[in-house]
Amino acid sequence: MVQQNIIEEIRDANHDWVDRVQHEVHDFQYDYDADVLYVAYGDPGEAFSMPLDVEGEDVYLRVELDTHRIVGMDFLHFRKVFLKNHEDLGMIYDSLSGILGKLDWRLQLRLPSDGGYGEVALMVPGHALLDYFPAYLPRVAPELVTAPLLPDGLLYPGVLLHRDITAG
Amino acid sequence: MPDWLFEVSDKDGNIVRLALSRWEMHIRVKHREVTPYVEELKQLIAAPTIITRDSEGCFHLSVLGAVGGKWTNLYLEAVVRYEEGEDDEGEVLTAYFNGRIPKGEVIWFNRT
Repeated sequence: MVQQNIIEEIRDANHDWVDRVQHEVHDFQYDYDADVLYVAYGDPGEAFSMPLDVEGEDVYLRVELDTHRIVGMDFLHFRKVFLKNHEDLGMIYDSLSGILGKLDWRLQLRLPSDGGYGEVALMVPGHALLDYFPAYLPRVAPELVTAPLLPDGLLYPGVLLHRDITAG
Repeated sequence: MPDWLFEVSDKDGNIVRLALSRWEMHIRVKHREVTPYVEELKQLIAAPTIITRDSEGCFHLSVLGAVGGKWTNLYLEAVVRYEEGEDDEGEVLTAYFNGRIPKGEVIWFNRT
C-alpha cells in the first residue's frame, strides 16, 4: 500500500504541473458504455491510479511509477456524475454531443509551438473545454499540486477531433 | 454480442466478463501496465481481498500484491458493473493498479 509520504513525493514531483501540462499532448479517450473518461498528458510510462478524496466523484490520478509525475486522470461515471457536478463543463459537452454521439471517442490536442493554429478539424468556441482538466487538480487536491490555478480566460487555440469509426 | 477476453465466475458464482473491444481499445491503451496480467485479473475477480461499492453501484474488486515486484505494494483492481436480474452477470469496466484501498462502501473483506 502506498505510504503516507507518497503524497509528499507526488507533490514534490509536480511543482511544475500546470506549466508542464500546457506543453504536453493532451489525450482524451472516452469509453461510452463504461462511462469512463481517460485523460493523459504526454506519453506516460507505467503508472498507477490513486483515487482523489473528492466527495461524490470517482476521479483517479494517474501517477507514473518511477517518477511520481502526474501523467493523467481517469474519470469514472463521467457523464452520470462528473458532468452533472460540473455544469459548465456539462454544457460544453452537451454542445458537442451531437457530433460525438453515443460512441467511444478520442480527442488529442497539440498546442502549436509557434503560437499559431495547429491542425484543426473542430473549433471549440469560448471557454475551452480542455483547460478545465488541468485546473481541476489544483482545485480539488491542493495537497498534491502546489502550482497556482490557471488564470481565467486561458484558451486553447484549437482542437483536433478524431472519431473512432470502428467503435460501437 | 461482443467477443469476450475472458469470462470468469466471481466468488458468488456470477459470471463476470471483459469485452475484448474494451480491453484492446481502452484498458491496454490507457493502462498499459496491466496488459501482462490477464490471469491475475481473472484470479482477483474470482477471489478478491476486498470489495467496495461506489456511489453509482459499481463494484471495485481488488487484491493487494496480486502482482509482485514493483507492483507488490499496490492493489490490482477491477471495476465491475453487474446487471440486475436472475443471473447477476457482470462486466469489467476498467482495471488498474491502485495506490490506496478502493473508495466506497466496503461490501466484503477477506480476513484470511
